[in-house]
Amino acid sequence: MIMTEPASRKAGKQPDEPAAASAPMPADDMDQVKRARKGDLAAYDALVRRYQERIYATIYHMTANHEDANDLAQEAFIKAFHALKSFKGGSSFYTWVYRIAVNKTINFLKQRKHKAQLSLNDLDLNAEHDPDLVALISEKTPRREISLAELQEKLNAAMQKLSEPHRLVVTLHDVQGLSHEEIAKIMDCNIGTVRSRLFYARQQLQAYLSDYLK
Amino acid sequence: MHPEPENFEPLRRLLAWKRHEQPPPGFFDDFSRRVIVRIKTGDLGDEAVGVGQLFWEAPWFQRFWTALERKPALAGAFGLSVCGLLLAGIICSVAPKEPGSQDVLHGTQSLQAIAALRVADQAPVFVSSTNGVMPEPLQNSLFEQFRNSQVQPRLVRVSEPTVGP
Repeated sequence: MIMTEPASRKAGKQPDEPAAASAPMPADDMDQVKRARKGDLAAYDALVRRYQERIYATIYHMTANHEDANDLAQEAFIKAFHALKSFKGGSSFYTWVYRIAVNKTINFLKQRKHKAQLSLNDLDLNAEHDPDLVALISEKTPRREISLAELQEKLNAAMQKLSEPHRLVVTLHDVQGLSHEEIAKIMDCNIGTVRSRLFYARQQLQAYLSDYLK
Repeated sequence: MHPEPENFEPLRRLLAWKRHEQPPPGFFDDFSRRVIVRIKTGDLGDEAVGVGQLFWEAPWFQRFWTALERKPALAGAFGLSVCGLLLAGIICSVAPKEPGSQDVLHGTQSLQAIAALRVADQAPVFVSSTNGVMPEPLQNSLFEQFRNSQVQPRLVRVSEPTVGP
């Protein structure tokens, strides 16, 4: 099972296409929001079930940690429930919940960054391309076919090197398949900013993963 | 200024592969129930954060922190100013009192004088003071009059009993 299967992909669209159809706005979303606002937990349970995978996946790709993603996703839905009265319906419930989850995750990551200790992964790109370091690694681990697990590890490590806004754009667009418009709404910025961030994030990732993209 | 178009297709294929990363089996079967249980038990999520968390999430603090991260010179200047304030505080607390501070002492003494006068008038007065409790001088002791009084010898004449004939 694919964790997040956006509508645009199901419809066979390219991720770069404007994907207005991918904005999931079921007609009964608003009805369930109204009922949940009155305290109907069954209605809110239906909303959680509808969006839990996408919300969880976004947080997971941002944090690269299942436990953190689980906690943050739960807290995002709890916060959304308590804030339902402030939801005016100007955007879809889906975008609104996404925004809550994303803000929560970015705040969490900022705190974690300051608490985390320096590790080899925190070294900058120049350090990894240091000839002495490269020679040392090459001696210890001669080149071989990379396994999927290693590739996943490298990919996650590269993602974690991006700044939070860049990582978020890549996650929402290239992993989850959201359109630029949707991402702009979620991140509360304009589409140009989304495109620019996406370009530079991809450039950085391409540089980090150059050995595996040849 | 538009960046040069680059071929990101291999990267996008690699990133799309991340969609296959899965949580533990059955994770989503129970997820919404856990959320609803937490809501029912009155869990406010991050609404019930501490003061420290609120402080951290304050927009002005985040902007300030980001500025410190981006500009080492600003971070250094901020650190220096904090150290300067700390040093100034230490110096002020250690330095001897200036003559102007005598006024405070005089004020206290005049309060004590007023209190003494009120005592003489037999009127109850309450004076609060941060001064320590000093032992009263001995001459004001209630027992002083007994100590200073001289004992006067007194003649006692005892009449002899008359003996009957």
